[in-house]
Amino acid sequence: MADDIIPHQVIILISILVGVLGIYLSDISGIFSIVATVFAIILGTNTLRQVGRYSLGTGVPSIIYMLTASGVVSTFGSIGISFYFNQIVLFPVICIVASFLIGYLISLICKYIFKIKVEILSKSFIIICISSVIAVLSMSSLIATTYNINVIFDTVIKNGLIIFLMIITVMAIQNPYNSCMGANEEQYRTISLAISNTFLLLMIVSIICILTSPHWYIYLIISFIGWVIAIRKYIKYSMQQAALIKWSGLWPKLNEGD
Amino acid sequence: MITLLLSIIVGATLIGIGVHFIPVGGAPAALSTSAGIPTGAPMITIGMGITSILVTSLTINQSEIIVLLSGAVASMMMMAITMFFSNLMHIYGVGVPLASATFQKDPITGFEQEEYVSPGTKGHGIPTVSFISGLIGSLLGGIGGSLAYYALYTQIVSKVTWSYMIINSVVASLSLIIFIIIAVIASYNIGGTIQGFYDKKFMKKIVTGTISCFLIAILLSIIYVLFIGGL
Repeated sequence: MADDIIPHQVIILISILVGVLGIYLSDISGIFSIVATVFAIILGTNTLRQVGRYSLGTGVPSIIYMLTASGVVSTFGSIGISFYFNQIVLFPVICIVASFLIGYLISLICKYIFKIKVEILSKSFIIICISSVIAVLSMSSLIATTYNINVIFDTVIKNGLIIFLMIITVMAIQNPYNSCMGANEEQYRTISLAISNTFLLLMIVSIICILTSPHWYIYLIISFIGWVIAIRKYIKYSMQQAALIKWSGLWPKLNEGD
Repeated sequence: MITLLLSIIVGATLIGIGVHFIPVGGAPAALSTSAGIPTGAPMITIGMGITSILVTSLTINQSEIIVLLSGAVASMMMMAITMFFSNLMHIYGVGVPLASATFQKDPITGFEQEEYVSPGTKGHGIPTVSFISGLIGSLLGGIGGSLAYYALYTQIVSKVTWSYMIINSVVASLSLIIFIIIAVIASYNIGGTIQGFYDKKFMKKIVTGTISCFLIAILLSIIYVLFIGGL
């Protein structure tokens, strides 16, 4: 694998900040929710690139299935806490803290009971858990048009849409790495596919918004334009990386066995 | 609340034990180079959970025994149909006999299968003992899932005044998440392929699997009690 062009730490910092801000600004406009979702998925995919290289005993999608489900569990727990203490403003922060704790506990079980010896396991599990929570919450706030937990509870959780949001988050995070992995997997190519997947799924979410928001067509158009830009970038990067093989007809020697 | 806590812990642990019984082949089984169901353990368990939850939600107003049994029968039927069609594909599509390299003689039919395993593979298809093992696993998983569903349903019904459909969709989301998390934890423990309770690997893995699923179940049940307590 080639060196990363954007460092992982920068992505973590920017994505969590933009994600939380986007969720809080979703009262003003759903566009902030769309931005938050894209950054959350980028964070998840980039973390999966780091941990997916190690063999954890089962397939790559399963990690994301479990951690996204843990993220949704932490959302449920934080809903209970927020209702109990009557906290509406702090709800997204409680969710992120709860997902941090659950991701850490699950990584402890993996480390000390299954004896999986991977150094970055705890860190990666925590970050994927947080990114999935941000993605699910920002899509919920796009549908509910606010981050207020009472409205999210009525529009997303009571009708079971949260499971749908969970599954599409899994798709968006695991598909890019699973389809790009190999000898010359590169950050730009994987991330551009992740962005295009996110916009594709946001198109579906913005159609669901017909029920709640009068501005659903704006979100649909934004998602469509974003998808076209991202998939063109992805095709361009794929062509660039395939050029060496296309011209010479040989397997790439550069990063083999990494 | 104590009933709910205990029911979720028992149910989730049962699901975790059940996953170990299911003969999982993974990607090699899809290429007919290993015995077992040709998919990963998480995927087959999630499918089992969805069928169990669907049927449980239909019979939720009956007595507790009927609810538990209907969930168990639903997931057993799903597992039996999956394994039967997988075997049909292997016999008539790929053209291989059903045999596994992990044990020489099938304890139920007494079939000596060593000669039928293709050289360089670990077997193909689902032999009789693995089929029975898969049914036992789905029985345990179905009972566990419907037990958790029943406990969550009765607890939520006693707390709120929502309609029948809303309560069922919330409870179904909660119990599906139990299935997903427990399935992946169990498959981390299995680590690759397993051929049911007659496999030597089973005895090594079942103890750590039960302990880890028990710990995760405690964590999940505490969070669910927090959620339902806050409603």
